[in-house]
Amino acid sequence: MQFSAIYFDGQKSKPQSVSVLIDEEGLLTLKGLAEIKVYQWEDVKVSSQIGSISRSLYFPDGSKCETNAHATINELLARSKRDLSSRLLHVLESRLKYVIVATVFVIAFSGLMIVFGIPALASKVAYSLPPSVDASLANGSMELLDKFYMDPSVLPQETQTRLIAKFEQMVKTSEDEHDYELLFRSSEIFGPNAFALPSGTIVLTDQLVDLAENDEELISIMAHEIGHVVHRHSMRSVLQNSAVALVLIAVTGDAFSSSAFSAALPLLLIQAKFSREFENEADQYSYDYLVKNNLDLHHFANILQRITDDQSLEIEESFKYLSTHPITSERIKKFADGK
Amino acid sequence: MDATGTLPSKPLDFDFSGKGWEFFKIWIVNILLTILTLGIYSAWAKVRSKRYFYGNTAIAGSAFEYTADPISILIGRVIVLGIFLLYIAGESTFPILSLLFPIIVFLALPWLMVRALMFNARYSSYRNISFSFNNDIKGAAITFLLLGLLVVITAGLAFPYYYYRVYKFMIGNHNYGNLSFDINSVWKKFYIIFLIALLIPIGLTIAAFMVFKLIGIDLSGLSQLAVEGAGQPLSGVGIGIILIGAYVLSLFIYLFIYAYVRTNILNTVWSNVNVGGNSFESNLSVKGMMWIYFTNGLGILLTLGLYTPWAMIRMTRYRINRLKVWADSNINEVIVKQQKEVSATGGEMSDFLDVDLAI
Repeated sequence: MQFSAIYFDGQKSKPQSVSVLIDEEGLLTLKGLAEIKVYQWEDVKVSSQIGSISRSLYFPDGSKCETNAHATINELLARSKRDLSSRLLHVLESRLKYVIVATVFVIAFSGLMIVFGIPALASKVAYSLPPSVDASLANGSMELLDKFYMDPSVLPQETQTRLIAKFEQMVKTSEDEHDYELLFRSSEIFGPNAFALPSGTIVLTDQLVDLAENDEELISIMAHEIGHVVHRHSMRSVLQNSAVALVLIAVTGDAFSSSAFSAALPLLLIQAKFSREFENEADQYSYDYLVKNNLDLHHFANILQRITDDQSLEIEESFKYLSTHPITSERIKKFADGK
Repeated sequence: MDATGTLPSKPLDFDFSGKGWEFFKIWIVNILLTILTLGIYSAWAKVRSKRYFYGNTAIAGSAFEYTADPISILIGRVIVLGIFLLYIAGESTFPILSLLFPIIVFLALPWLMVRALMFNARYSSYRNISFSFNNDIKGAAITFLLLGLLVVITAGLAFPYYYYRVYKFMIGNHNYGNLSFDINSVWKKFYIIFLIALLIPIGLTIAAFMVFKLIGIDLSGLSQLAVEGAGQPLSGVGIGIILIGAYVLSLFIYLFIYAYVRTNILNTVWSNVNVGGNSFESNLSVKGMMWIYFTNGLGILLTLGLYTPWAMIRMTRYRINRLKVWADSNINEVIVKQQKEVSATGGEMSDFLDVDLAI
């Protein structure tokens, strides 16, 4: 068999046209150079076929040939039963049916990883970490919030003491090892609101306490916030979000990072989805707490309804997929139907 | 330019012939096999991708070639992973490790970078003549550690100079055969590029504030909305549209600045690179780069990442096809670099370390 190629001696960058001859005994002859060169076909290393780039034949003396005679070379390799895996790879990379199978598999795998695999792994890791690691996530957060968003509480001391006593009772019964603490703050910016830091610090705003019609409503909210802490939501979201970012960067590589703006949106969507799941989990914690302590489930529904009453629900509906919280009407429904 | 100087009348054009669909097939099989082999195939995947891009980049009728052995890359990755796992395992027994490890990695960084660049250069070739990278650990330490520190001390003022020195280090230490790469001292141009890039958002912000003031939107309402769980002071869909509009607008501004800096830096760098008397010329346009960034980003977004191979091909094609060489010396006359004598131990050591530590 015979094909033409370009020869490079490996000492100088000068290209030389040659014709390559391979006989039945496996003797490879190069013609067209100052002197004829002869090699054993079995000693010649052949580069793998990738797309339609030219192939290289590397000779034992460090010289090489480049050629596009893919068919001839593949036949030679097949005949001498060589480089099976590299030939197989090219078949995988060039047949439509294999490419379709690969695409479907990769899509399904990545989807399952993001929806199930990563969250499951993240929660396994998060639950295995001691609560002190959780607490370190919250370092400095309270100071920051106090500085920019919140003022000292103006609630009567007796209200505070009463609620703290109830809160202590609540966390005593849970077997969680976080250092729980209930704080009150006034905040025009947050309005009627409550939040939990991963350390176990739970904050109720004066505005929320004023809005509540009874302590049971506040208990249901505190249970929701304790749920965030118990279920390690801060740690899990940190782990999940960084894992997803890593996967996205690994798959899309440079093309993605160079157009970082397109990276932001999918990440935002995925993060919002994770966050909604956490809210549901915290709601569930509150639900279970109320049921266990024979409290009326409507308390949670009522206070949630009152919080959202002055907000426009139509904006919430239209941003369902971007929202970090589940739609309030759906949350309320669960508690309203519960009993 | 033809009759005036030593430059030849016609430059040699770089040519990129990679195709999106062809590369997609390689890319998806790479991911598939990497998943199925729990990451082991990633070394082969890297080599096949690099071979595809190198093999499709040609000048004067010959293509580049990436010749690294995937096994070396795999060993490099296993070593890096092994060190990391050892650190994780040892940290709980020896808490001091968590303090020492970052310092060790930081100090080893120049060496690691040089190793990775040497590896990559040694296995990059054109016409069977390899590239090489100088074992310039001192240069790496000065550039990345010392000048990096200078950037921090000067609160960023030294950044353009640092950025220039990074390019000078990365490009200037390369050789092709017996020819050395060099880059002209263009750090002042880097300052001008970054200064203009800085002025764009300042100007736009002032303009935006004036517009907002004009139509009477209270900006404090916006910051209020940024806080999770805050009540919305402005009603309904209106604020949503403003937010999305502001988001899209800021993306475009960001994209424009990014494209502006990237285009001008690349043009400045490559138009000042010199390889043994042969000078390069890069003619990227901000408009062209911005269009590719935008459509690539949109494509990747809408296809959940599947467009990535096309995006990579389009970017590379644009950059390569806008690059040319004004060849002074004969491109057929480059000879292989004289190998330096190395002691047996040194040789063994470098054989042992002939692994790709780039992650």
